[in-house]
Amino acid sequence: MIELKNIERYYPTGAVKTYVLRYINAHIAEGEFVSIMGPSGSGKSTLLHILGMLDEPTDGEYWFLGEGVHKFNERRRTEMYREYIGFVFQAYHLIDDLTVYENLETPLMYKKVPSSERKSRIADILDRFNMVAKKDLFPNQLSGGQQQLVGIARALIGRPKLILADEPTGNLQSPQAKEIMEIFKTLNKEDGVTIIQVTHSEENARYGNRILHLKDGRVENEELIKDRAA
Amino acid sequence: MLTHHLLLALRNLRRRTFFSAVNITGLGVGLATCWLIGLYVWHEKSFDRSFPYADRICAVALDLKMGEEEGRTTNTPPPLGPRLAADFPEIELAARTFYLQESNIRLEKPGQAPLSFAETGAYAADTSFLELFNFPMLEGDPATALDHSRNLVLSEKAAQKYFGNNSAIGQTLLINDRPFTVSGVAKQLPTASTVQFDFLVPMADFKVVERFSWSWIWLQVDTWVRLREAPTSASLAALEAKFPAMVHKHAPAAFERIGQNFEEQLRRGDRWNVQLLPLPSLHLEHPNLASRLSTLGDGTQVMMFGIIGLLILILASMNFMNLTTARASTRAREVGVRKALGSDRGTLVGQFLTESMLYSGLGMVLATVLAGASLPIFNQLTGLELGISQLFAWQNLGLAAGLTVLTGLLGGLYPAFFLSKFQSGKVLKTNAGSIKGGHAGIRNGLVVFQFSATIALMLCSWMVLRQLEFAQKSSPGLNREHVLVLPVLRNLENPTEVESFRQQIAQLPEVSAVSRATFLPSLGSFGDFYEPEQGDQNHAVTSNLLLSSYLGDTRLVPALGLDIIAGRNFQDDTGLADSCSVILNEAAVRAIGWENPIGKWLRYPGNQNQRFQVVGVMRDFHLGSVRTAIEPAAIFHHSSNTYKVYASYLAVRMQPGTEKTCIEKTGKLWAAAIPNAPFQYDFLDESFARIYRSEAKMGAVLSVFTGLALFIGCLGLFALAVFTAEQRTKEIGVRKVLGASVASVTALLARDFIKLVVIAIFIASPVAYHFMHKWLSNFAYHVEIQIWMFVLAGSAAIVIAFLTVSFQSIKAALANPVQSLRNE
Repeated sequence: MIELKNIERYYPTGAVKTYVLRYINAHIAEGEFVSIMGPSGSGKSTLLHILGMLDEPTDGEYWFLGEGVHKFNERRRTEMYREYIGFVFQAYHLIDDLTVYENLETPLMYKKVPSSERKSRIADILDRFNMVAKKDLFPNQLSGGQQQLVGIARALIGRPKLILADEPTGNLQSPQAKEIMEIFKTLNKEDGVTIIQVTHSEENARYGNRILHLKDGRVENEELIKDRAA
Repeated sequence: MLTHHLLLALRNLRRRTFFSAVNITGLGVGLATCWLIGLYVWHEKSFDRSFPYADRICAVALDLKMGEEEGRTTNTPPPLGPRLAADFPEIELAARTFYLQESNIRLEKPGQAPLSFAETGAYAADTSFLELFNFPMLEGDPATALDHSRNLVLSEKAAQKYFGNNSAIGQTLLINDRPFTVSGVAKQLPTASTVQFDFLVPMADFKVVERFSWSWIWLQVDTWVRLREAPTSASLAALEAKFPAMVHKHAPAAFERIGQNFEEQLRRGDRWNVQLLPLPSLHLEHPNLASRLSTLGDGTQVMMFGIIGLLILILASMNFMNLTTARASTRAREVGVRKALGSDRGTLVGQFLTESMLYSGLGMVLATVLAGASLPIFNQLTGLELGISQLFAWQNLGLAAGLTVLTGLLGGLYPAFFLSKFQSGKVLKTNAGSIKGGHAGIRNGLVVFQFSATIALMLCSWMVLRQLEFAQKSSPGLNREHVLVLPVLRNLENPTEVESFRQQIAQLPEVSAVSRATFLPSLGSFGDFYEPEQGDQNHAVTSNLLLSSYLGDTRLVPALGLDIIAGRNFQDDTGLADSCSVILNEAAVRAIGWENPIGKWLRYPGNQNQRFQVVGVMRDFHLGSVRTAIEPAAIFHHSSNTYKVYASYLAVRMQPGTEKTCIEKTGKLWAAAIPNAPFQYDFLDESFARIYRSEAKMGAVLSVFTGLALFIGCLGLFALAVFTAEQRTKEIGVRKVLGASVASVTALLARDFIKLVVIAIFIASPVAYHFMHKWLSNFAYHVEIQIWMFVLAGSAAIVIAFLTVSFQSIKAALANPVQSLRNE
């Protein structure tokens, strides 16, 4: 599904280039659950943003479903967001002025899903996440964990093939974090959604089937999680 | 999607109540201003378009140069109209009108007190006048309504006033005691019509016009023509090119009759050209026309008002732009999220434009309230008579809708494109807040623009008001104050009656002098040519001089407070001593070139070579507007009988402070002496002030504009200050913890804004100087533009801006740092 070839990302600072990512090569197949780990400043968030087409590599090639992302224009990227990719952010990034229901509806509107189908899909997902009672609340009326649930629901509602999660539990208490990770695991297993997450937590990383350890912009080593591989 | 956008915009509006209120108030004020000004401009542009033959009708004008005097005028001589109609087949109809000045109109009612008013809308007109314009009639036939002697055509308003709902046809009204029978009622003319009348009577009933039917000099009628075909500028020029032959054929004889050689004068560089001014462009395109048509407008002024109205709207839109981009950091995150959710840029632009349209729409709602409430002031300023129902007529609502959309686009386009440009990656990478307020440079530019416009307006309106005050108050050589003016000639035809009335008033203890005069300064004068006594070879003297003159008695000098600087005033009333005397002003002496004017002679060829000896010289005073240089002027004694005109006044100098009782007592004397006419009076200073109606309108409108611009500018500045203070809460907290004083924090916050205002002062000053210099050059006498005015206006702007900003800055500076730092 994803093919990274010699991805580099650097910023010109004065005469020297400051590298954030160097020679990243990776292959991620459909149905995988990959965790990216590494110390602060190792470039993991940048890598995730590049994977999510929110940022562009300065060098190297990125192939997504057989297409060269480096050749995409803004319109094509927008199509990708609509059809294939769902984002989950550490800071949730819900739209403050919209209710839970409306936040969930937004990506469907951009996908031009007809109104009746929107209703049923939102009803389904609210039901699945046990949030029917919260549908008319605004984000600031929810706890952090609840907001992140809405964030995940919003990422899922467009039925993406790939979910990119940037420290999805970074702002949450551990019981809530655990709940979120369980949801990811189920999604991956039962719905076959490919998930790539950035995380600090070894425990969370182990929900996936593979861990990429980043250090100073390079993939230091890769680790397969045994019990998941089966 | 649209409902989604709208919903979101509404929530946004509710959540940020303060900024929303600022935006809507500013837009509302801007829209109301622009809307009303739009209606005014529309009205001015629509002048005379409603008449069926508008494109074929022309006003006849003269382009004159006689000696030093030159200019264009619609004042034409009596023979011109008939000649044009007779000599040129291109001209279908010609018609003249003769203004009857203020007239007493009276309706006798058997067994009741008569209904009587002094009316200003009475004209004598040729029989073809109604037909030429094809004025719609309620009653009577326009082709024949003025055909018979003592016929009278009323306007709808006049008919209503005198006869109520009864038919006016066949009824009799007395005009200055002469009976006329109503033969027609014209439908009410629109306010956007150059020609306005309330009473029309046949020209034949006013012999004075016929008496001057030989004269190409007596410019007392207005002449209109209707062409057979709508003219092009080429056909008009071709027609005008044929006029000089007519003038050369007929005018010389008339000039010879007053002792002048017309052809000789033309050879010396004088001009006497007949022109046709098409009706559709008459109202706005001839601002410097000398004319009795009091409805003429000024296209430049109308355009200026229009531009400034639009400017106010732009200033209001800028507030919206500023506040929206200032909030970019909060909006940027939303843009980023939406893009990551699959929104394209067009949808986002649509969302932000929907938001600006919503604000603009709500601004319009406020604007309708404001416009409705300020309608009386608007009518007063513009002279229009707009009612609430007209304000909401469908065309006007169309204008309002157009303005709303325009404002939405003006205020929304830039923020929409600016905000929708954010890249998700950059915006979302960090948790929050690192995006700068966004385009601070452009925002500063907009604030500078707003304040430049405001300061320039401030300077311009101040200068106009100063010039207006100068024009109305400064009066060397003539004391305009405490002079009561009574129009008497048409009320008392017999000179002995006038004299006895004059004496009665003179005996009032409140009165210091009463003079009888034909014309008075500001109310007109009689112009004619005189030949001064020639000097010797060393002292050249002009051979021919146009003098504006007044006929008066010995008391005219004290009554008007004139200043005799050489020689003497007239000596007595019998005329034995002064029937051949004249008092000249300094300008006349200068124009003639005499070294010692006293005792010199003037010859008046217009009245059998009558001769006058100069007995006195008076200090120059303004005969009329300060737009023109003071013309040579003279006072002759009544007993000279040099000419008789249709305007005669009593000038009553009152003791200061006694005006009220004086007017009461004079009114009683009037009622006894002139029972048939209502008591009419005027004040000399007010009559002078009326000359400057156009300037007064401009001063008033500019002041209002300045106030509005200032309001909008300060509103925006205040909101920006609030915003900046919010954004810099943390910085302020840190600074205070480090030991900054309240004053230094206030200064820190205010400094950035004051800097912008200072830049604005430097931009506004030369702009204002340029426009004011150009405007003041219209006046022969004007106030000077001085540097301290710029300093004062600039300081005022700084003080106002500082007060606006400092309120918020001080509030921020006083805040407890513990509160602001706790969140971190």
